Amino acid sequence: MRYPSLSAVLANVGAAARRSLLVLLLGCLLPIQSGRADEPRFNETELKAAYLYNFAYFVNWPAANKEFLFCSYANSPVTGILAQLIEGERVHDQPIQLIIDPVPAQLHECQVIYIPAQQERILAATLEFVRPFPVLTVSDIADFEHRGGMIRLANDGPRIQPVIQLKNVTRTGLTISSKLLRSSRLLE
Amino acid sequence: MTEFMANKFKSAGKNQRIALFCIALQTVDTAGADDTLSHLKTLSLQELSATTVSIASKNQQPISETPSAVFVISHEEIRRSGMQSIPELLRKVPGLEVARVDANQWAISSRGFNGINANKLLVMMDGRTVYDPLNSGVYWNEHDYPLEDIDRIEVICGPGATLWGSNAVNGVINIVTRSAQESQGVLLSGGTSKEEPGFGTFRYGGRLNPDFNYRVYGKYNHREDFHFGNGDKANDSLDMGRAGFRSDWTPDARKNLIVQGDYFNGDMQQSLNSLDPVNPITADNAKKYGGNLLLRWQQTLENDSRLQIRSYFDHAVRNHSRLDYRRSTFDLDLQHDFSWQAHNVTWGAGYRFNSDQLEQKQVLLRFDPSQRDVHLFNVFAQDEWRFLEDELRLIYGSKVEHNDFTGFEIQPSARLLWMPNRQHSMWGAVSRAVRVPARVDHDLNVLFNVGPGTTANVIGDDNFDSESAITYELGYRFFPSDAFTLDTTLFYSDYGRLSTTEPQTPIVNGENTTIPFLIANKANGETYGWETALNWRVSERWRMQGSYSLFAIALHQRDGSLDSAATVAEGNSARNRFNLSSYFNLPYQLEFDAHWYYTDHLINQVRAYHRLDLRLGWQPNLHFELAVGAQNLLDNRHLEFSPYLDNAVISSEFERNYYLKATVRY
Repeated sequence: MRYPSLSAVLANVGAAARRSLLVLLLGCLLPIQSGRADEPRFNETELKAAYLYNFAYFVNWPAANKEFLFCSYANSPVTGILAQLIEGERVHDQPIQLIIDPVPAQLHECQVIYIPAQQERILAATLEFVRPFPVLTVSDIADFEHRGGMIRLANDGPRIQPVIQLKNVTRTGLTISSKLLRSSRLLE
Repeated sequence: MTEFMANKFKSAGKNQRIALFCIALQTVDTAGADDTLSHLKTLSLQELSATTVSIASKNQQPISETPSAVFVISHEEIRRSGMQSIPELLRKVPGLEVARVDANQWAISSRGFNGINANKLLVMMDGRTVYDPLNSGVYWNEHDYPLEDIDRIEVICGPGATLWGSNAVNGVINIVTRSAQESQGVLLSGGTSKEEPGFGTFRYGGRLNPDFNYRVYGKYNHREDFHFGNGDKANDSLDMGRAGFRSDWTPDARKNLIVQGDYFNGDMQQSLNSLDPVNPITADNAKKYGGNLLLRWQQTLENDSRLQIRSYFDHAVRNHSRLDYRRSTFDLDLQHDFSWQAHNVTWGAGYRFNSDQLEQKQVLLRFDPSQRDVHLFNVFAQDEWRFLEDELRLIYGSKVEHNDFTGFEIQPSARLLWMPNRQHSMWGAVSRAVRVPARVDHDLNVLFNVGPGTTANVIGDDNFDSESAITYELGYRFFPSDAFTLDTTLFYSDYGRLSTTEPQTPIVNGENTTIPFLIANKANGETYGWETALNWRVSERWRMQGSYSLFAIALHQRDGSLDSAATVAEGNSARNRFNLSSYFNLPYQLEFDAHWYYTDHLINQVRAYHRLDLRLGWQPNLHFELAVGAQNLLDNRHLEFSPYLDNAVISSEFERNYYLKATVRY
């Protein structure tokens, strides 16, 4: 048996009532805290953050700013990973910065805004604020591309795939590199 | 920190400062995580789109790939519903029957057999079972949560016993709360309505370090009395306070420990039929309190298999005028998922211990024995076998359970899913599920007044067996785009050994006659129906949602049954129900939402009713939200359920309601 602890747990189940919760849980947990994967593998949060990071390089903004600004929201685990990915990085010689929970007046300064599913309640208002500006809007909300959004990070089976609503992107003067277009699903 | 970041600090609000501080903390991270991240950074776009997610997320299985009738109420739908309680939120789910019995009680069931103690539906909060082992029913007025921290409510109509076990006969509801990381900061919400003059929630979410997040909350509700049909005030008010916490510890992306707990304490009233001909209605004031503590460990093992260990302790006390009840439950579950070639296997085992104590306060109601310990064991396995490049999937498995009343119970199921392309999927299923006996079925002894000088005495029987059901389902889903989905299910269920109360020889004592009734399994029955749900993003600003349910039921007394009320359940379900919801975003951060519900008449003396709810919401920024709304706009009040002879509760009527609610988040 690959995990001897499992059979031990099964054998113990009958006796569970007579044992304390703590002892039993520890008995289950300790032996299996072993293996670590040989090659790094990534979870959904990490893959979404990596896409956001890549968008900085594969999207062209009509005017250059002093720095490259990501905007995101605190209640999403993606934000924390993104902060670590951009730490000390530069895009086209601009330093990258991250604003968390931007106020409406800051929104149009962002190059990329990520609106996580956890913040769906402010989606409509945020898109309204940035509509006239060349701001790349990204989200993992299910019907984002039909609500005025540009790129949705969609679950495609076990993979994460960008779904790009081209008409919303080109309207604001943003251009997307062919490399990103090739690895995405496109809607017009 | 760069100068720019410092500037942002100044211009940012308080919670931005907190967030930036946390990010600063996060960047000082361990070496292992750094390796993963630096590798992540080097991935090309092509490699990114080819990488498979190693850890199943909570939403990984899309509804389109689920071979059962699933409906999910999302966080956003909860917020825009205008509802203030979990049971009211369930009204829009096709297949679920939701009826308000009085100001603080509901009759909720899936696919028939509705009642205050409807017993063929399994309800869980974050995996903790909340149906009560006393009568297999759910005390809806005890279960609540800050609605802002509920991530979603998942509903499966139809049997789910293979994975979830006994009582998941006709449906499973799982209320899933947000992780502590997703509920950071201060949340204050409060309001007033005609029905609830005062309600308020406080939550604070914080983090001790990047891997350890927590939240604590408190919630208070006061509900006013409803009125009876004749206009008299009912005794059914509620005062309920609750508090709780949840902590999420994620030492790395492959491990996760959740510890959470809740405590509630409240007073609630109900109006009961009494034996006294002078005062036929008595007020029952109940004091209820209880709490729970739950631990869940999830780990992804090196071969990408997943292990979950969950354990909880739950305690509840109910002090009624007729009975005092206290119960303790301990539960331990283990689940392991792994892939092998074209198979995804889920297997596991569980143990549950229930101990209760019932103290008789009046001659009318008692349990024999008054104290009972019940042990429940189970093992289960389910395999998802994928054919033809995942186009066809066969999911089969069984649960084997042992309980103290009926011994071993086997609950198998087989499901087939066919997904010819991205736009269509079809599924079919055959499953068996049982409702195992509860305390009431074996140990109840209750007296009812059924006429002048005549008393019915309903008595539990130790020979009472499990009720069983075999269900056949067919489903079709059409999703031409992410903006439109249509989900349809047809079902037929065949029930055996349904519960009846069999009259025995009357006992005459002077002018008084007592008719004993013994609880038995002397009815069969069939149900069939059609459930459909529609979701349509009409435009960027406008979304529509609709559902329709058709339901029919036929129950039959078995040979030798004398229970003329055996078929009462036929009268407690509506034949037709529908819901139409519209979510509209207006300029100036305004939202206008409308919800229309229709429920057909019930044979048991409830007329058909329409209910229209309107809501206007305003969110000027991330931190503030104001909502005003009206519920049940179309009539002054209406009756939704009428408990039958076997339940002494007298129902009151659901009234027109106006509310005002403000929410502040920082």
